[in-house]
Amino acid sequence: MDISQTELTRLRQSEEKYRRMIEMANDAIFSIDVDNGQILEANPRAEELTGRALEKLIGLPVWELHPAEEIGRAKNLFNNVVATGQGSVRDMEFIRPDKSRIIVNINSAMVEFGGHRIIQRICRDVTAKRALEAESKTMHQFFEYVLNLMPVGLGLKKDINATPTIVFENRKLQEMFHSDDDDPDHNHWYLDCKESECVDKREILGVNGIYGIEKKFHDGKLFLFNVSYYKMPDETWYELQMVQDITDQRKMENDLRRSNEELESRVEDRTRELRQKQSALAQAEKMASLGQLVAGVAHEINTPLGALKSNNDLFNRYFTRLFDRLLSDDCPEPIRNDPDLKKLYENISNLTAVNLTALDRIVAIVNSLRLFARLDRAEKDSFDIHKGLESTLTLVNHQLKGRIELIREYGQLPSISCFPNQINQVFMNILVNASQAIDNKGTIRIKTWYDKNKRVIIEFSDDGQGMEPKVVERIFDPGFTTKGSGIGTGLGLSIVHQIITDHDGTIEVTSSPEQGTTFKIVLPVINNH
Amino acid sequence: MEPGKNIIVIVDDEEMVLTSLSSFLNLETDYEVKSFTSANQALTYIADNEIDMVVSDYLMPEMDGMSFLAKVREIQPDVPRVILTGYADKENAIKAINDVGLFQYIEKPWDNEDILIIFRNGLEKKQLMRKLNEKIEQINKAYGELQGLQNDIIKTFV
Ligand SMILES: Nc1ncnc2c1ncn2[C@@H]1O[C@H](COP(=O)(O)OP(=O)(O)OP(=O)(O)O)[C@@H](O)[C@H]1O
Ligand SMILES: [Mg+2]
Repeated sequence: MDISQTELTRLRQSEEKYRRMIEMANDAIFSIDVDNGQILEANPRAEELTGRALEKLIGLPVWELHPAEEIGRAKNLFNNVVATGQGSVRDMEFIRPDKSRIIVNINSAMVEFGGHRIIQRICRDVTAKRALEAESKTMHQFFEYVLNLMPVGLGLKKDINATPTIVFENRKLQEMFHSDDDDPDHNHWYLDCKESECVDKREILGVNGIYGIEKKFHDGKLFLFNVSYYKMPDETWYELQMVQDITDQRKMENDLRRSNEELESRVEDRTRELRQKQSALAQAEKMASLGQLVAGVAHEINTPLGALKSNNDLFNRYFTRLFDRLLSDDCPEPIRNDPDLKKLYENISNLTAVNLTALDRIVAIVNSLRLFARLDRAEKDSFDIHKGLESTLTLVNHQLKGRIELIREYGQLPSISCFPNQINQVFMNILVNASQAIDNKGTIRIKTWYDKNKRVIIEFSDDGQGMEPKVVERIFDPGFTTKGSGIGTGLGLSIVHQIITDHDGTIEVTSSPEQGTTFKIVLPVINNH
Repeated sequence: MEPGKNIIVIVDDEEMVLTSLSSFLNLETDYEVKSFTSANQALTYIADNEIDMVVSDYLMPEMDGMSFLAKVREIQPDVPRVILTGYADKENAIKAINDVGLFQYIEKPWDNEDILIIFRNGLEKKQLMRKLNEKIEQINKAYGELQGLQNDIIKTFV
């Protein structure tokens, strides 16, 4: 073989360069004898990695670098490379004289060198790298473990704007969507959510976004998808979905809301009832003291009234007797036929007659007052409805007189068992309202009858101004009045309602601005009040 | 006091009631009316004089009508007792009337005709009672005489 001088120089230079490279390399490099596996050459990095000086390395069978348990494998590795002539890469451990170990990645290859076959090994210290890898693997497993325990479904996919692939699904998500049933809803959580929802993908993909969707599946299950997008530094897009089965939760929420509403309306009812009771109570107290007042007044009036009535009667008798005498034939003619005397007689007769009617009227009013405010509130009594109506009418007469025509259509009624003063109060409140509803002239009709079910019906109709439906709805509410404060208290009908309900009765109203108003009261003859 | 005249005692704290009632009775009847505004004065009178009928107001400041009439009953049990009431609570009044054992009650304002009837009946009752008592006395006397006779007969034979 002819090698020119320049060629030789070039070779030397190249060899020198090669040697320097080997000496400076960051990997340990060994040349190994094919025949006996002894180390022929090693670079300074090899001294470092093995913890042995070059003199110690040269001549050392290469498997002696490994710990006892790996020596077998190390020999095999060597023999394999020798036998097959092929390179191999694997991780193994070096043990140093001080017993410390490192993991090395061994790259073995057969090379021809100056007509000799030798094995060259490049060994890289991967201890730190492997430790890192192991740690990261443990971390991964740990996270997977934790994520699988999560009570929400978690799914991660990548390349969502190209061909999405699933990176991870936790156990919960698999339970939710990969169950055995054939419901198509229960598969492909990622496709379903991505394709069917009206999310503008480009917009979402433009930023790292998060959004939530509720989806109801065919089987009635309700899922909440929380979807977030991430763009990784390598430009791939990831989508993380957190999926919750909120069927039960929603049902509970609904139940809660419903029971809340129910509660609220119950509270409202109770409050209204309470307010009604309170106003009825206030009214009852007012009536009780009014009753006592009326009773006292009636007593006080009756004494002078008794005297007046008696005297008027007496006066009438003797006045008549006196004139009978004066006008009789026994009397002298000038007196008997005196026209002044006759005139006097006629006028005084008229006046005493008026006195009598006036007194009778007072007596009737006082009687009505007494009947109206009977003090027997503690005990139920049998009560003649018509008498109650009449005594009440006497009391409201001044409001009706000359203005309102009263039509009575009384049927045959049995006595009913009730608190008479309360029922009178009912009649009074309704009659006063009716007379107030009639602006000028009008009619109030009172109709009573007895029905097959042993109930007494009392119907009051007026042709007054009537009410709009909006008003009708509220008339029994305590405090509701259209009469302006200071005029109406708005308690009248709420008390009526209370009393009628307490007597196991009912009250109904029909009213319209054209037709006027009718209140229909139905009372059982016997109640348990 | 004229013999044979019925004596009526009326008690009311209101003068006007007394005047009205006594004028009426004076004019319409031949009863002799004694009126008092004080129940105690009336009781004094009744203790000393036999009367035929008594009328009292229900509510009076000094003594209420019921107590007054109860006392009258103690003094002269046969006298019909009438209460005059303007009290609104008629039921209670009637209950009281039954308790004290009254002949009648009259409501204020009263009706003169009713009063006449009540008085007439009351006096008639009193009359009948007196007659009944007289008869009973006669019978008792006759019975006593009979017993005396019996005793005489027994004495004679024994
Ligand atoms: N016969 C009726 N015709 C027309 N409206 C009526 C009639 N009765 C009641 N109303 C209406 O119902 C409302 C309530 O009546 P309610 O008797 O409870 O109170 P009031 O009459 O306003 O006050 P008060 O009874 O204290 O005078 C009245 O303000 C009125 O608007
Ligand atoms: Mg009213």
